[in-house]
Amino acid sequence: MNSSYSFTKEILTLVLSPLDVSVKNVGIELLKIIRKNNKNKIIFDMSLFDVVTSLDIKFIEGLVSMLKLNNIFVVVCNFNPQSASILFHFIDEVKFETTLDVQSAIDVFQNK
Amino acid sequence: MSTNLELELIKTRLIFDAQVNIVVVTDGKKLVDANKAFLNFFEVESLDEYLLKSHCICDFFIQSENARYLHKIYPDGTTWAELILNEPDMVHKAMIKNSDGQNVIFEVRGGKLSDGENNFNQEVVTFTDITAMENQSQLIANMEVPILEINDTISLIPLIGILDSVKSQKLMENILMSIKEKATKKIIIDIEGILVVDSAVAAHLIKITKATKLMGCITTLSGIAPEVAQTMVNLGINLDDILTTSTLKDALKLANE
Repeated sequence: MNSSYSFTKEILTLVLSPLDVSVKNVGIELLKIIRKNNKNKIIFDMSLFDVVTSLDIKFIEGLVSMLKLNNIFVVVCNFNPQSASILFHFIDEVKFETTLDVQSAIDVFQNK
Repeated sequence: MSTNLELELIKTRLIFDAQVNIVVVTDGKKLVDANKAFLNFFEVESLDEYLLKSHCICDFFIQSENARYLHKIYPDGTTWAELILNEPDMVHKAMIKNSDGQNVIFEVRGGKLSDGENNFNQEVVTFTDITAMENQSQLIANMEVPILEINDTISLIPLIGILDSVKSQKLMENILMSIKEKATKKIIIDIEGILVVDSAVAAHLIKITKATKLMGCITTLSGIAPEVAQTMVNLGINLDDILTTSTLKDALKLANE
């Protein structure tokens, strides 16, 4: 897995690498890390994605669904405006929770 | 004493030089002739003086992120002059820096130097300064979609006129940039001033709403008049996932809750 991660008290923040979209079993690897560190709140930081494609969204939706099965909640953040402005010409919706930045994502978890 | 032919040549030259627009004659690669407006623009005394520093006006073409301007040469090998000839119905624009360092935008039109019988394999290209017009268009475009900050977290966008796909895309980009810069949490888009709300306009608004949600911002559509509401229902437009209010006052109240 090329993505990097860090922890706060109860939240794991994963800075997703665009390279991981094409890596097999990245979900399994991620799940192992999450279990090892006993977390159930995850933030996916998309800041490394210059362009977010419909395939990237499909990949994230897959990861989110997989984690949801393990009672792990995900908030995805830091989409760049240029990507956001063209993304919905290609997809109808995104099936995960999103926020502007990491701090907003932490706020979402704290308010839950 | 000049012959008739010489007088005609002088007259033709004077007509050429009397043009307010820049007019050049090119063989596609090298400048063959240019009028006085060209010499004035580049601040040179003669064409020969200009040719000492460049062989083509295209050497001075510059690019901008905001619009598509002519390139000297395209990746497929097409030159700017060929493009003008191949696509005569398109509006071609070029940007050139003047001697004061200001970017001047030109509308570029061209035609072959040929009357059917005589073909000189050259092109006459006219550069018309449209900078003022372009700046005004940009100003109007910006005025059409202002983003007004109500407070630190709420912004208001009163839309007027017609919402077409170009304006909609521009609006969406501006909104998303604004969300990123100002960390806006709630956006109110007031559509009371939109003249026609049909399925295309609704689709644009839905896309904007979804994109803002992706950036963690909630969008409310306000100013939906009864006639517009009826049209939307009749067209089968589904706005279930979007917050809507009939008046701006209601939207502001909702945003402040």
